[in-house]
Amino acid sequence: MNRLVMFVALVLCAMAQAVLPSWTALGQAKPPLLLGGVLYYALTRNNSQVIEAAVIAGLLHDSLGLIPLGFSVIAFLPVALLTNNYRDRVFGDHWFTHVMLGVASAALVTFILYLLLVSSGARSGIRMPFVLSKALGMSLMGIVIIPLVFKCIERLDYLLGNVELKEV
Amino acid sequence: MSIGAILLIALNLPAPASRALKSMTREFIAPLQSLGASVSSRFRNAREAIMARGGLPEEHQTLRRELVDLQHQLLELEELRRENLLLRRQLNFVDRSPRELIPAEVLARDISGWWQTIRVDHGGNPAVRANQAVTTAEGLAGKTLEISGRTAEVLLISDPACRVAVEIGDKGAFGILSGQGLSWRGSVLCRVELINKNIPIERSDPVYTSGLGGIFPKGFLVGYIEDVTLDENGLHQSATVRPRANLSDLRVVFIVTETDDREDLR
Repeated sequence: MNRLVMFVALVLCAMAQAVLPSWTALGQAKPPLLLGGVLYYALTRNNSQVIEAAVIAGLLHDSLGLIPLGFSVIAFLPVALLTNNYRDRVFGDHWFTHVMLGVASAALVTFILYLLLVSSGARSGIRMPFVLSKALGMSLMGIVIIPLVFKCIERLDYLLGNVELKEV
Repeated sequence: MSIGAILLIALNLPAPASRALKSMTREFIAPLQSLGASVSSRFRNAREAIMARGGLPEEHQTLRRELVDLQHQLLELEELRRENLLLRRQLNFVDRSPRELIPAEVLARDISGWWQTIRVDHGGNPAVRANQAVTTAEGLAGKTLEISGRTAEVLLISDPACRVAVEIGDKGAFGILSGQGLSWRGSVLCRVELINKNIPIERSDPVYTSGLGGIFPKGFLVGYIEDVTLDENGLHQSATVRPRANLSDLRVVFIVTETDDREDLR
């Protein structure tokens, strides 16, 4: 059940991310919904489930675009594992943690993807100002989107009996 | 360990297998996306209907007038087409394959924002293949890239990776058009390079596909010239082009296919 909910949540995140418009002024940044899903599982689950979430999210991300298969998994995995590693040392339930995670991880994922795309030759002619503005756009969207994704998946988990709703 | 193996396999999959896997995922998600696109389209239509309520009778009259005009033009064009076909036959020219426009609903945009692409639902039409021109009622939109059973990935002309052989007006000036991405205001600009410097190009000159590249058929309107500059080396001209199609708000596009049946002159 837990895994099914994770899969459904990530598919919904992918669909919404594909449909929502990009922020043209800031490097055509897209709302980082899939990343939000990965971060949610990184903060709330054990290591193996975190890796599963990163792999599913990465493969979905690549399948619904032109990014070569597997690249987004490489971008999501370090962020997810790093977050999971330090989850006991942060206030995992607090919105401020989600905001800060959103800012940092959205930028990191953008840079990793940029390096992978350019080094593999999958995308050429990307200028650094574009990448910087995209990272900024992703981070700014992460501030709003990632806490929202956390709340939605948490609610879904609660409704389906996967977790107990915590008192805040 | 097993995750590492999955990752290694995913990264080293041969191109056809990778395409098949991507195609499977897209097929799985396509019905849900289609539903989402339909709901969003209904909302948008309802909003537009409410906003335009006051001007509806006038708009209706204008559209009726335009319809009559277009019907007259169509009759004239049909006559010209027959005449053209007859003359081509007399000159022993090879008949052009008739074109078919397959309508496709826009389902989504590129999920990552690294490319300028849209995903369209072509309804599983078997005539749709990779590298076919995609147009709108206003002008050229792009070309098909990856095809799955029901959907197709379309690379828009605003993407720097999309290159189109173009002709400027009827001046005999040719060039290669490529996208410049989106400006911070969301407007789309393209650039035509390698234009003969001796041919005078002016602002508002129309830009059409030249048919020389092999993907885009001749004669599709791309957009209009915004400004013209001489290249740094002084050998060619370059021009900025504003695409005619509204690439940031595409809802329905047409995939241009060529049917195999040669047209008979009746």
